[in-house]
Amino acid sequence: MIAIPGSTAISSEARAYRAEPRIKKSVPAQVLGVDRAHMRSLDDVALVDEVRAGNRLGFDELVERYRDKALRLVASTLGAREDLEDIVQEIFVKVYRSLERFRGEASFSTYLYTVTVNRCRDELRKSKIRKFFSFDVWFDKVGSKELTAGNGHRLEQEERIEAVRAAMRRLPEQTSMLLHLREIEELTYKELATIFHVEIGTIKSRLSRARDKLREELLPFMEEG
Amino acid sequence: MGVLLTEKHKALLSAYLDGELTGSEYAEAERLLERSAEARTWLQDASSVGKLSITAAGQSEVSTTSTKLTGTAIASMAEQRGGGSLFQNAIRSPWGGAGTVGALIVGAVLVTQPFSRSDDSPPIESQPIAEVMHEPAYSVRPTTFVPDNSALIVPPISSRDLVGFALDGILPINQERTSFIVFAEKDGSDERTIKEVDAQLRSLEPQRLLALDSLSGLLRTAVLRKDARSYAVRHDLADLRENVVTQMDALSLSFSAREQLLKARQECELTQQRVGSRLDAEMDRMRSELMVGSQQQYILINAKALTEGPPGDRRQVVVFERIGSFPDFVVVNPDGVSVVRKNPKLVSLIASSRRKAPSVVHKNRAGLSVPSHNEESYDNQIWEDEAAKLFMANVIITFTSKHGQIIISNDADTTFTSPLIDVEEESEAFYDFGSVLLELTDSLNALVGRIAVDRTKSAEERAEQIYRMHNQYRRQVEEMLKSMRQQQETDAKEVYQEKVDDGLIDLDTKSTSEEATQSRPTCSPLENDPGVS
Repeated sequence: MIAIPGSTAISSEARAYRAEPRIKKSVPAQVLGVDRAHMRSLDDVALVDEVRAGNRLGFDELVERYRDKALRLVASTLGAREDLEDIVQEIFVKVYRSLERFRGEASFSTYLYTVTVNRCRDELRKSKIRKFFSFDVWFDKVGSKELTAGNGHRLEQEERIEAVRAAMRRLPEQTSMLLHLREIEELTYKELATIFHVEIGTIKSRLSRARDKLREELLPFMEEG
Repeated sequence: MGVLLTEKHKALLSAYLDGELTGSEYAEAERLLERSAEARTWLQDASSVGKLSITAAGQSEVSTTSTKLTGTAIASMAEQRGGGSLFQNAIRSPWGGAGTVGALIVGAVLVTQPFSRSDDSPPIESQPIAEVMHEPAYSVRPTTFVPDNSALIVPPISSRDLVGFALDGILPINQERTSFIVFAEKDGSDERTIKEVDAQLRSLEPQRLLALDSLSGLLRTAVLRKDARSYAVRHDLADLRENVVTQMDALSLSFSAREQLLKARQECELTQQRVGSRLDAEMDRMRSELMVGSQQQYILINAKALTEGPPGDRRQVVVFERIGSFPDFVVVNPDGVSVVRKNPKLVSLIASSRRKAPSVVHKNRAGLSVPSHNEESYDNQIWEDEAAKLFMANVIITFTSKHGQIIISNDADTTFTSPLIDVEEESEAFYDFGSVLLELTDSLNALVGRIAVDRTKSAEERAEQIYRMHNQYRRQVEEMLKSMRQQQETDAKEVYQEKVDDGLIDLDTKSTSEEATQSRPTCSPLENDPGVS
């Protein structure tokens, strides 16, 4: 379903697996003679191949490598929510189910981030709608979100962090995700262009605008810091 | 010195910071930095912004590490699920109350002893049923069921279960597959053995037939258990079986497999005939019994009658006084959707509110007709009307050629029709809206259910609260529509900006992006963007 443009060198093994469209039934690890330590030594392409061959340990390893990264992006985009882990789980379910169609033209991480970004956008769209339309107020009249008394003065550092978060939230959602993937996960422009389905030039100008905007908003904190 | 930083300069510096420049671009950036203090400051600030965002991410408000998620668990979950999008089905309300679906809703009771076999018994393919099961005795008399998960006993369906369902009309009623319920009626004594299933059928991948999870859901809600000996089976289960058989038959199979399927189809027809004729007769009998004053303790719900039947039939739904003594019950929706735990609670409000007959009607503060009770007489009509008003909202989303419209109605009449919504047909925004609307309507229904059983309030208070809640719901839908339009405008702006970024729109290089945004004409996403070359 999701086509990933661009070209990346892929192994001959991976190419061979392309001919096999379906994920095979699970095969016990012992039968394949592999263990977790071996999995850790494999790169992503090889792990994807293992999964396609029916070895779930390969997917275990991929999840272990990327779950925190995906969770960080989801958390940074959607903010504090109870269902963050559920969302990440759904993302991996989707990735697993579509591995058979994964052509290996982009890296696994790029593919995972593409799915994650799309999911975050969907969630944001829905939560915008939900925000306007909830019956919670009917039953929870006593606000629970008030700041607790006696907080005292916040530490300067906390204030600064909060200001950064607030400024990030004010960015358009796509830009915020873009900035996160660049600054935190250190993705290249090419990878970002693949994930957001835009030209590299667009990535360049969006990042520059985002930095400019954040710079304006955070200037007081930068001077202090 | 003296260089005014343009957007292009900033983009150059930003990419310089990220190490994403080509040789010539890099040299250009170096030159810029050399001659412009402003550029150097900008670069310094951009770098600080990056550091700050890394620090902020490191101190996230929420935990960003997870040990719960494992690939093995996720893979199992993914494999258990079938494919297909649920959303397209959800857009037309599945719980559309009674009335949208014409079929009868009757909890037909099959009083039987499910046959059990010990763990060391031979596999299902060769197990003779006659040794272990009693003769099933159908009763199509509706009954009451506890509305909780314990009533659902059929486990998630495996491919083998599906084959068993199609060929033998059996469904497992425990996880271990040691007990099965047999709902098929066999014609002739020689049919009392579960057949050796054709190898081709046994190895059939159910994914080739239908989305297994939706079928599993249907089958699970089609069988309910009341107690150790009483099971309710949806009256149209044979139709579902026939459907599966037909799908199997459409595959290219061996002659012996086709022969088995043919027999299964004949059984389906037989069951349909027998259950159908009994059901009709029972319904006729019960219609006459379910009159006010009857002491019979059962429910008959005829969904079609609610909106399409004569007024007399509607009485069957709102004569709930007797149900008051049965606070727990389940209604099986003909689609297998669990309307179940919501509608009955609402109905029970009416049941508990409806005391002996109102002779005087007055309006309460919410303008709702509230009867005063008279010990001697009954007036069902008022409560029928109130029941119709209070019944679940039914969300219908319709499309004209280019526009969408949302109609929210209850089962009596339409209560809200939105203006035409300017979104593209099949657009994501519209489906999102529809999906959330359905979700929230569901939550409305759940809340109404909570109010309905809140015995700390009087019936009048509860009715009033529900009435206000429905009004609130309608107002919120209106507000929602407004916000959706605003969202469309924002989306249009973003689309425009993307086009600018992609170079599809030429802007004066000296103008800032803000100026560009201000000068951009606002437009509906339906219109052609006038700024696009």
